[in-house]
Amino acid sequence: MIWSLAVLPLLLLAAGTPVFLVFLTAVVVTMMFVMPLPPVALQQVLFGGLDNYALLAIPFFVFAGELMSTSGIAHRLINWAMAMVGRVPGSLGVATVAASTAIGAISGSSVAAVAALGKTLYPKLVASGYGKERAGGLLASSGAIDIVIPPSIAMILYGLAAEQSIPKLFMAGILPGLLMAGMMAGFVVIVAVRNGIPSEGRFEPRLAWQATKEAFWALLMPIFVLGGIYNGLFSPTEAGGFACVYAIVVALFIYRTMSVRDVIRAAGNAAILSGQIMIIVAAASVITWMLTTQGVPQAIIAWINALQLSALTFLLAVNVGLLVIGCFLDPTSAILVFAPLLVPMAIALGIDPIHFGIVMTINLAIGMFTPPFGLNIFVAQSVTGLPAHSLYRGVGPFVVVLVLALLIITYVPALSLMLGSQL
Amino acid sequence: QAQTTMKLASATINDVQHEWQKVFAKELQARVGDAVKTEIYPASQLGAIPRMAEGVLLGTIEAFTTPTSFMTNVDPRFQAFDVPGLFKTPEDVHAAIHNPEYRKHLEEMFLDKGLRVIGAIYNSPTVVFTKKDVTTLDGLRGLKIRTFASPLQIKPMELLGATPLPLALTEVIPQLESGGLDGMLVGMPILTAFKYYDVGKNILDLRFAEIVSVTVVNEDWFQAQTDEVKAAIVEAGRAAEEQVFPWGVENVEKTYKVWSDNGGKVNELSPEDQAKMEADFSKLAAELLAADPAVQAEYDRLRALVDAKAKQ
Amino acid sequence: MATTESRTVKQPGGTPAGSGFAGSAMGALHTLLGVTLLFVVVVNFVNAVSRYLFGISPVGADELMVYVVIWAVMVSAIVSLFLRSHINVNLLPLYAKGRVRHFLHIIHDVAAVVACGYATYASWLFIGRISRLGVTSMGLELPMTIPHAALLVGFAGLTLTGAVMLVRDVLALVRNAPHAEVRP
Ligand code: NA
Ligand code: NA
Repeated sequence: MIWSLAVLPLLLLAAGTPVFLVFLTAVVVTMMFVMPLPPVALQQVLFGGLDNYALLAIPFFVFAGELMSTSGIAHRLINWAMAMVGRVPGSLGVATVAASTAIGAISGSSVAAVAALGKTLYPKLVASGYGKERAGGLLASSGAIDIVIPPSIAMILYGLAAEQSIPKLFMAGILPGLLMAGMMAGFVVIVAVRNGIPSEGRFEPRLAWQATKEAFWALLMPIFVLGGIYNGLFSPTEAGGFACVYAIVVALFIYRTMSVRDVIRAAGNAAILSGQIMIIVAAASVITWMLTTQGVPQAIIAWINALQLSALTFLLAVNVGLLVIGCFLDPTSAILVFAPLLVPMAIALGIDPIHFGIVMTINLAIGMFTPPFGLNIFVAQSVTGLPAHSLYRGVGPFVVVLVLALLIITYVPALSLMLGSQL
Repeated sequence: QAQTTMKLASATINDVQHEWQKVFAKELQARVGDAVKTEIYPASQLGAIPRMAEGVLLGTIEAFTTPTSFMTNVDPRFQAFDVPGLFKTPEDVHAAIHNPEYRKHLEEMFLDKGLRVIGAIYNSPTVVFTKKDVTTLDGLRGLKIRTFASPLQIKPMELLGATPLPLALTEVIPQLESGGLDGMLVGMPILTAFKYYDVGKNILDLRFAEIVSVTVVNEDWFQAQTDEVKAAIVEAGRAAEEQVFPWGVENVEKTYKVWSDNGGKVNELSPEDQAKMEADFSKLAAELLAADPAVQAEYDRLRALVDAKAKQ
Repeated sequence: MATTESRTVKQPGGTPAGSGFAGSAMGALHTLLGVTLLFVVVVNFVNAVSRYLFGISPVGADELMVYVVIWAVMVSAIVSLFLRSHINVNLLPLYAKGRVRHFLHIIHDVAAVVACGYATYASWLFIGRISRLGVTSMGLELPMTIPHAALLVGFAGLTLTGAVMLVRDVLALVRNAPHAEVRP
């Protein structure tokens, strides 16, 4: 089982095999030669990996990102943000973090955010002197903020699996999400100062007003989407679809930057990228299923249990364990499998289950862009065209920054519980 | 002796379904020792409900415990348990499904679908959770209530003038918070398990239906076992449901207490409203049943048992 | 659009994927996928607006969207395999030249044929059994055979595409044919 589920995938991955085929081949070889399982289980689990309403967020937000970049909406939004924060060193990097945070308040899916932002921001970041590696790393890692700031699909699933209050989890995610954004922005500023990246332009009321006028319809987009969610017009999953409708209307009738053919072409591109992402999700769900039915999670839990840890060391062990697990499983399946097993242990040690949910979510969010596996890396690679090893190097510093944030959030429960306990 | 693995799956955790599985595992072990290795997978660890249902049909999962309402797409006769007005108390459920003759019939009624029932247990009452304080039938008018995509939930809500919306489970809480939904039709223990008192405080306890959970096993797998194991599975299933029935009743009472302790309110209809609703629902039930003779026949059997108990 | 246009694919055999029958088939599928995603966006819009304004939510709208997207995922997986644009760790392929790169492509093709071939077989067995049982979906009451068939068709298409590419790549390896840079 080791060679078919660990060695073989690593070899195939290194050979540049499509990621979904890496997973699927590992599973098929295991089923054929190592562990005889009924073949029909493969179809059942692959289909189950795709038959999930919350996954609709991926095509919707990928399409919205494609439309925003093609129509010029994203361009105007970025110009506006630059006109506002013009003086800050590394302003474009800071604007990228701010944009991820804003998208985080709209969407609940990390990959979708990376895909939506990457397209527009990557060329601009490179042009303004960040270097390809750092720009790619920033984009791949900024998606982590998205699933910590509510709404968050990962937290909804944690709430369901661990029987915890989802509103409390959402509230509890706000400050940690902002801390992560703040630390990333701080790091970007330091990089900009050290590398002498010039702060672009400076704040001038006349220019700011000009940029605001030009970006009016673009600025209305996040307001429309957030307003729609918080007034109950649509759910966070549906929001992506509404963002598409808004962008299409603006592009066709107001900016007139796209034709109907362009819209269809953008939709085709989005469908293909979403398909590439979702087939990986489906193939990865089979790995999860295999590990689950072979009792691997239970074995890990038994091992942690045997260590007789204190609350502090337990949290550390969980952090380390989940960062490793996050390399192989996507956050949603990792939460479904591990939350019911870990939460009772956390509660027994006196750890607040809401706080624990935030720790788990951030862990898995970081796992999505730590090498070698990680959906956000793969998507960033696809959107930026960078080679994998450049991205591996590029995300390095951000892994350090966000692990630092994770440690602060882990050992200062008040950050998560201050807002959450007010409900 | 060859050892066989029995995976028991369900969508929930720490509830009566999970409890039944745990007791079943113990009872089975007491009878056949290690000849059958049971593995319990709660909280949808083996996939969403439709996938678990397919899994047990095709034998990739040996056993699946679920409210009957999630099996109606496999066999419409599962609807009979959810007809409004049939079960109003846990004792009604007990009188019907634990009647020895009916129990034997229940065990084998889905064999044509390749499924054998090895457990049937009282789960909980269906209540209407609302953000607004609703105490009358009129108060439900125009409210957007989340239901399952099943006529047995949609039609009663329509009849009361509410707007039934079959939303995906992951969408429910964000929509309740933003006002896109006003409430949901739900089993009582779900509300406390997921701490819905953080979302809203009110329950309208309509008492028109009690949820019944069944455990089905793949019949091909069952037939592949030795006669001793087969008998032990059947006995363990029955023993578990006898033991767990009082646990389930008590668990529901506990959830009502947890609800109140957290500031939640439980509303009941006035006797007039209750009578009106029951009369309307029985008309509706007759219509729904007339559409499918097989369901009607099943319902009639259950009805007779509930009525016989009422006469005692 | 710049990023998509610059995402070139390497393909052995010398004939660009963008020309001839295969090229126009890919173009047609691209358009079809675009129209399909637009359809899902419209269903999503109509569903949410009618729920908000009129309190009417067509039963099964969520199922319809999910099932259509599953079909789109499988079709786009075939297109991406043919264009070699699937997400991968592009470390080795980026530096591999000549026969080495042909050899890597053969590994990918073999993985596609083995893994997707087996998945096709599993799908075939599954659908045969589920269609006999007559299971339907909860909302639309659609036979579950229809959404499940997306995987059967998808994996069969992937297997076939993988097999065609395997033959081409083996021939290219033998001939040591140059690599063509082509655009999707
Ligand atoms: Na979010
Ligand atoms: Na990772």
